[in-house]
Amino acid sequence: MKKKGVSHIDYIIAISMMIIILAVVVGFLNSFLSNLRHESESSASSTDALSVLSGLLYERGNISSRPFELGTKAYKIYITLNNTQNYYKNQSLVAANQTSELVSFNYTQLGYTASVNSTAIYNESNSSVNYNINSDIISFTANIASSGSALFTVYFDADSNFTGMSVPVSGFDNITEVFYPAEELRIVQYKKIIELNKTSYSLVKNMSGIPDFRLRIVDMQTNQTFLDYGSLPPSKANVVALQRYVLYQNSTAGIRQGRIIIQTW
Amino acid sequence: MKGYIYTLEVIFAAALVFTATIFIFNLLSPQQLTPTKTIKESAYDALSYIDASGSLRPVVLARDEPQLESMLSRFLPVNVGYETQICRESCSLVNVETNRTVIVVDYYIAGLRDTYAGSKVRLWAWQKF
Repeated sequence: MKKKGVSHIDYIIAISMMIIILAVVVGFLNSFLSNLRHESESSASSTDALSVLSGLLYERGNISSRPFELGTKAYKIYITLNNTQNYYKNQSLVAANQTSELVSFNYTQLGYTASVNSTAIYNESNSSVNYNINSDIISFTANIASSGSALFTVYFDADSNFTGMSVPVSGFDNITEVFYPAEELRIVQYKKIIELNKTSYSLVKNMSGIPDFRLRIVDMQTNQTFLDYGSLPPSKANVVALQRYVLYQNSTAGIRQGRIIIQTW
Repeated sequence: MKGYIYTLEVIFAAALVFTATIFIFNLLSPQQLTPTKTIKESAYDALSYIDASGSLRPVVLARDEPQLESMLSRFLPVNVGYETQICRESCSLVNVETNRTVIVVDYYIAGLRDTYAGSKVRLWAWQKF
């Protein structure tokens, strides 16, 4: 007797194997397309985040046209004081401790176009120094021991306006100060941070073309968040986070070290 | 006997298709985003930031490379290896990774206040893992 059924086993095996192969190919294809989608989403988010960070310190437009360009051109001047005989204005005086050495300067006389109300002054230990504004003259005092020296850093820009920063100062101007040429630096400007914070999130999303984001400025020294703008990242999504270190201007014209963190998804 | 030969053919074909599928999808699998641009931007930003905060120039004048590298460690991601040199024209490649794509950033420093430095900070950076 001929067993006809047995001769079909090879065909059954062949068909089964082809089905398995098809399943494997479909599996690979599905995984490939899924990875591709995730990678393109991550890539787009990374490009958005990089683009925000790259343009952050520029000022090519205003907040309504370029919402993430928060920068301004600021300057810093170093001022040194040497409490030695050579630097005394009155050469007949003997070098002695100067507890209230008065330092005065005027941006116009130094050759700069500046807003006097943008001034921030720091001593060598990076502590803020109180100053007085009288018309366009800025004055502050220094305490310098005989034969000692002091270094001050003055920051200013052309278009910031912090009123109420002036305090009365008094002293005697015995020493000739040395002013060094201004160095340009780019900082994140306080008034632009405020403008961005006031702008509606959906408007900024539409202008920038970024689907969703969160932008934060965190102070490097205190670790406190100075700006938190945007929406909270979802718990499940491809979130790209990049950060950049910047100098930013705080609410009292102070120049602070901070980092800007952008999360996009 | 003929049937078993067919089965062997199918197994052979299946193996071929399987191998080809793995090969093609591995070849086409999306490449990871290149970190080169990010590393380069991070490296330049780190130097620029240290300069803007007033710490770079005294270090360059003192030619204090360990101090510079210590400062950079705060600003560069942990997966980025780096080496710095404060030099003028020729910079030595000692300690620079040789088996990775290395990014070079040059940052020129003219001086500090009234002291001329005329130096550059060369920063080599690469992805560690």
